[in-house]
Order: sequence, then C-alpha cells, then structure tokens
Amino acid sequence: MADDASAEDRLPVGDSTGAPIDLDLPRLVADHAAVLYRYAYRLTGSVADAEDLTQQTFLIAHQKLSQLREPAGARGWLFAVLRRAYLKSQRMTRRLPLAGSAFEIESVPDEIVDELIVDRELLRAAIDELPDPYKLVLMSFYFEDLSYREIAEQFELPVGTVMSRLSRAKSHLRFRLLEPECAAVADRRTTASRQQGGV
Amino acid sequence: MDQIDLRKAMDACRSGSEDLLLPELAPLAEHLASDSASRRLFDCLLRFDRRISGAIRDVPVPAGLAERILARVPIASGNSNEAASNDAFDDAPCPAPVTEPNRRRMGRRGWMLATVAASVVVAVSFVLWPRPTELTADELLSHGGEWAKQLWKQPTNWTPLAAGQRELPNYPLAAPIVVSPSRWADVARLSESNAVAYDLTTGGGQRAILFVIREAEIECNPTPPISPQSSTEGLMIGCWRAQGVVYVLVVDGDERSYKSLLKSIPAPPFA
Repeated sequence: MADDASAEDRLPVGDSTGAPIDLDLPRLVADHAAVLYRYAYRLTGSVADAEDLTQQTFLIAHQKLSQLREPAGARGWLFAVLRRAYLKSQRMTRRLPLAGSAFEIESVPDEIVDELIVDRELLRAAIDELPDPYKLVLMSFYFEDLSYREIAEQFELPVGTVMSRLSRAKSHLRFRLLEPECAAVADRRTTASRQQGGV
Repeated sequence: MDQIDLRKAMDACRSGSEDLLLPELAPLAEHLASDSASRRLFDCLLRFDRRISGAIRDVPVPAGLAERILARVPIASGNSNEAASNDAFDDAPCPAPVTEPNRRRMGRRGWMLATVAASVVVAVSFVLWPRPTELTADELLSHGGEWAKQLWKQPTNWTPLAAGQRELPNYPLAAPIVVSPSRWADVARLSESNAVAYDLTTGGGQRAILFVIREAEIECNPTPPISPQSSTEGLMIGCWRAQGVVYVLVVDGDERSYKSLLKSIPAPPFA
C-alpha cells in the first residue's frame, strides 16, 4: 500500500539534526493538501466539510510549525492535527452496526472480489456508518499504511483492541460492498435459470 | 486459535507487507502453512483489501484547493489565537497568549505568567494523570472474558482482603453484587487500564470475577444488565457504569449463575 506515493504524498526534505527546519506553509500545502483533503473526505463524508477540515488543519499547522523538528514527520504530524480537529467536531457516539457480522466472505465467489468495482457512494456511506473509533483505525490502516502495532502506539490502545476494531470495521465494509454484488449475481442466476426453463 | 482470533489476525495483515513476521501473528503464519482453506480465505481478504485501499484513496480533489488554503491562512492568522485555543492540538506547547494593544503592560504580563503557570499545571497533570481507557462496550465485554481466562489460567498475585473488608478504597464493589469477594488482584498490566479484579468465586466452586475500572470512557448501562450481554465459551459477561467506575462481571457458568450474583433490580417505572 505504500508503493503508490504520489507527488503530494512526498515528504519535504530538510535538516534532520533537530534544529528548527525550513518548512514554510506553501511548501506544506503543496506537498500535503491533496492527501489531507482525501483523508478528511473519508472521515467527514462531505466535500464541504473535508475542505473546511483541511483548511483548519493548515491554519493550526501554520501556528504550530515551529514545533515540527523532523521534516520526515510532517505528514504524520499533519494527519494527527487533522484527526484531532475532526474529533473536536464530533460529539456523537454511535454503536457499530452489526448487520455485517453475519456476512461471511468465505461464501463469496472469487470472481466477485476480483471484479469488484467499488461504488464510490456506497463506500462513502459504509465508512460514514462506522463510529469514530473504528473509522480512525481503519483510515490509519488503509490511508497511512500503518501496521496494527503502529496504530496501537498512535492511539495509545492495546494491540488487541486495534486488531478487534480493524476486523470489525473491515467486516462492515465487506458486508456493505460485497453483499449487494452477491445478491445481484444470485438474481441474475435465478433469471437465467428461469429463462432456460422457459418460464 | 479460534475462528474469531484467526479472522482478526488476518484482518491485521497489510497486503504486500511482512506483517506475518510480527510476533502476534506467528500463530496465524503457522496456521496458514498447514491449512489450505485458510490460505484461500487469507488471499481473498488481501485481494479485497487492495481494492478497498485503492478506492479509499481515490477521492477527487477540488480544483484550486491549495490556492484557497493559502489565500485564507494569512488572513485568518491575524486572529490566529482564536483558532489555536479551540484546540486541535491540546498536548502541544501553548502558543503565545492573546494580547490587546490597549491593555496595561503589567496586566498583560500578569496574564502571560498566569497562562504559563496554567500551561505547566495542565502539562504536569497530563503526564501524571492516568490516561482514560477508551473502549466500546462491545470491546469491553470481549476483553473481560479474555482477562478472566488469563487470570484463571495463569498464576496470579491475589491479595486476600482483610477480615471485614469488602472492597478497596478507590475501587468500590458494585452495590448489586451479593457475594463478598475473598481477595483482589491488580490487573492494570493485564487490562492496560487503571483496574482491579475481585474474586467472587463461591464456596460451591462457581468461578466469577468482577473487574472494576477507573478513568474509563465507556458508554455502559447505569445498572447491571439483568441478563448477560455476552455469553461465549461458557462465560456470562455483563458490564455497567456506576459510582464513577466501570464494572465487568464475568461468570463461568450459565445465565442462572450470572443472575445469582446480582440482587434483583426493580424495573424502571413507565415513562
């Protein structure tokens, strides 16, 4: 997952001696605005909220830039600022929908997984349904490409909790994205068999 | 390794990574080496992950985003302390306090000193104060069972309660519990939280443990659930929050065993 670093994902270069580094806001924005916006969109599920959150992140970054000592840490630091800003704006707690727990990927034909074209709106809705503790762990896994251990350190959670949240969040996504495909395939098969039977 | 643990371990692996070499995933690696059905499932999960990973990152970025950000930041930074105080970066050092040109010099200095002092107090408190435990109730039920199994499986440093002592000062025994514990154990390391366990095993040999967790940010019922919320592998588990702490009751037995440890709770009146 880490092999697809695009231009905006590249880290700024600079002094790694611990001295304050020469990182200005335009450089940070040029390097990270797009990836932060994408991350913000996945958290908020809204174009307007994602842009506001990205804006707020850079505003805070601008004020706190002197605290950043390691240029290589810029991206992780910005993600952390964005996450905190997002959590500050969230007060609702929701329970994880359990509909997906009965869905078994073992029963899904290989071709459905291999040929899956992810419906953007369905994906947005599925992520949006996740309570924040699950959503943030999932985003760290997919977006920041962090291992479960790194996620546990980042959120100061037990490794077992991270693994559990990750598994349940993924299970929910699989249910929301694969179950309609399975139902559609089953419908097509039923229709075909009826046609063959002359009904 | 049961099916649930197996799935959690599979879901923790990143596609194209060497995560299987991590110690927590060693049992999974062993299992995959000997079970072809699990290997097929694992491959399927990784393929799905690759699809999702690409789709999650595939978000169109609005045109002119960087320009708009840069255009707004210098304007907003004139009022920058307002944004900083609301603050998405609580554990970072405090920025300079708000200053107003027409405020008296001594007053301003006083405010600055007060702000610095307050920041130091907050920072020290942040470091010294135990971190709250942030779990969901579902996770807590799952962990409660695991903790109890660990305590029953491994030698544990139980400490007998003194004669006449029913509870520890900072870890109140839940009022609805009808059995007096014989001993307690510090389970901070096991639970990675500020917690103790009370052994509620009865004379008849029915094993039960009550975990009492402080500084836990978990949404739970205010009273013990009259029926266990979780019943897996012969363990009946319920959790609730009262007296500022969170309780997790784990009983090795059936629903009747679970209920036998709790006083009957009157049903709430109709609204």
